[in-house]
Amino acid sequence: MEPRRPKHTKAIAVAATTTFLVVVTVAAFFVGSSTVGFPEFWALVTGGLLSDSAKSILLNVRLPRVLAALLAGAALAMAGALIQAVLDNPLACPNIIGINAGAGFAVLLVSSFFPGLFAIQPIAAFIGALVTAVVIFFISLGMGVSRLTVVLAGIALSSIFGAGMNTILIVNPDAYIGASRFLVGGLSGVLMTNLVWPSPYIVGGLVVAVFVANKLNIMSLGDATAHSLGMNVGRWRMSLLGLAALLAGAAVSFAGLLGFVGLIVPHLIRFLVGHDNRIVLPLSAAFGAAFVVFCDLLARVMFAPYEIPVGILMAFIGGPFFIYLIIRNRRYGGDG
Amino acid sequence: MAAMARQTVRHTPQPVGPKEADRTHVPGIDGTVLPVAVTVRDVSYTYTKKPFIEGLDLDFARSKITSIVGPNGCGKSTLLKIVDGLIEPHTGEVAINGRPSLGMSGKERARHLALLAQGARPPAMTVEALVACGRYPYQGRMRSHLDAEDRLHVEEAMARAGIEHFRNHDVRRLSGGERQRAFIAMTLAQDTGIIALDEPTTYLDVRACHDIMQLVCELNRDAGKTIVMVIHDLDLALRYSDHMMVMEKGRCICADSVDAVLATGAIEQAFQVEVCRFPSDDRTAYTLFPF
Repeated sequence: MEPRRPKHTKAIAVAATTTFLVVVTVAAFFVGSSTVGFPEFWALVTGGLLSDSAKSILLNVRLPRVLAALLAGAALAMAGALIQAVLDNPLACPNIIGINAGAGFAVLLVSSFFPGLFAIQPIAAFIGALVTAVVIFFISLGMGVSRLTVVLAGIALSSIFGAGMNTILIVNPDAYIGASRFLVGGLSGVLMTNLVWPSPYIVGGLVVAVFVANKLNIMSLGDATAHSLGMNVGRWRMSLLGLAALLAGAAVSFAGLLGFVGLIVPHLIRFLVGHDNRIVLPLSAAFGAAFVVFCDLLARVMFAPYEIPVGILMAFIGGPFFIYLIIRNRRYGGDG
Repeated sequence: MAAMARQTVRHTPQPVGPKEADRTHVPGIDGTVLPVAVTVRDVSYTYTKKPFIEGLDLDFARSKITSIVGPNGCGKSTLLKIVDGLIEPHTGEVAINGRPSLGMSGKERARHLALLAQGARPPAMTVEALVACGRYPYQGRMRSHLDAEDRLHVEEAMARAGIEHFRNHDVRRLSGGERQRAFIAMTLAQDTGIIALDEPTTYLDVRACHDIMQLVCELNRDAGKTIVMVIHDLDLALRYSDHMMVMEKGRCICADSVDAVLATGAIEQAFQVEVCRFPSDDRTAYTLFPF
């Protein structure tokens, strides 16, 4: 059971998330392995004197990286919130149930056959993610299927797609530049050209998700009650799962198999503001964006001058959190 | 305490005969005729190869409380799901207020008939938010916020169900009776003429059962709601209903006023029990003894 919350918790959570988002986004511009810092960033913002190299680092390296972190974080956190609500499974998120792996496999497949065609990568990622989501959805519909069974099915699918990705990279090592970063999820080396195609899908998907958030509240009443209220439950469930696949697929197409954002962030937001999806969804997107920017910033400076892909840091945080959720699920009425 | 007299009611059941397909009224007590709210015509449904509901043909009178009773697995809840459009009958049709239910959109049907599902699970939301969900059939595809009319209906529903004072409570923290009242308030906010209740008193203590049934009677008497409910507690069904429908093995073996159903002995046949009536002042209680 969740704690009783003070009256203005939602307003405080919105203000805190917004502040966190702004602070880490600005900080991400002047923290890094190079010497470009706050004075250069400030000069860029105010139109002051700035060297060409500093300008190039800020605009061509850090700007796409920050944008990529914002987009990937928002998309994966929103996808996680959608999937958890649609499948009624707190253990579900895009990487746990294999959606990220399905998208990643599709990206490597088209990269192998059509190198340099960035436009089709998000579409392929969406198709890979959607196919996985549909398989998981039908598994979850089975009589007596527990939450952990769905998770195990997702792990099995991830293994299959993982084997497929490794096969592609062994057969065709040039299929994807920076493949090792892609497999663990990372944002170094992301260019603006990598973001041109996925970003409209993500922005559009986020806007649609916020507008249809109330459907998830109705779904939370159970299928029979939602139907009685006039909702076509099956159609909305598939549509919202498709939306989650679109968001996760678009993010994977440039950020790789970035995991656990979609697991950690929605849980944290629900703990803070409750279960009203009209609040949970937009706040998850905002906090997810800030969280990935923050983790990417940490990944850049923790072992400076070396950088680790942000996906590794996410796994260090997300893994224990996932174990905690499994234990809690078994202890409090989880169906094991 | 007034003395109670035990009276045994036992008769031979009379099967219900076929009815005219276009009937808009059903016979009431003392030769009166009552308008029909829900018509079920020649409905059959099969889960496996064996028919589960077969050739069901009946009417639910408007502005009356009708209880559907029968042994476990006789098809009561399936019938309610068919009436609500949750499952489609393999043959026959259901008409709500004279219109075929499958010809209506989901939201259109939800503006005519509200169903409180069996064991509806408590959601993680406040009572007020739950009741507000009842306005979903009146909201557009992208609108999720309540307008002034919606708010009025939500307030009225909470007041009628007597739950305004815990509107900000988490539904999951409520007692069983309070929770059921909150769900009934949600169906009231749907502003439908017909309310279907699937086992509304299951898991409730005896006081909460009677409170819920009294609320149901108030909704029928004061707001003119047509109530159709599936109920296992025969004492409650006999006490608080105007009409009863007895089901056995997917068929309706008797449907009439409570006294008329008791007179046929259909309950004895369906449940293999003896029904004993205990009149006390202006009220009557019923006890059942297995054969």
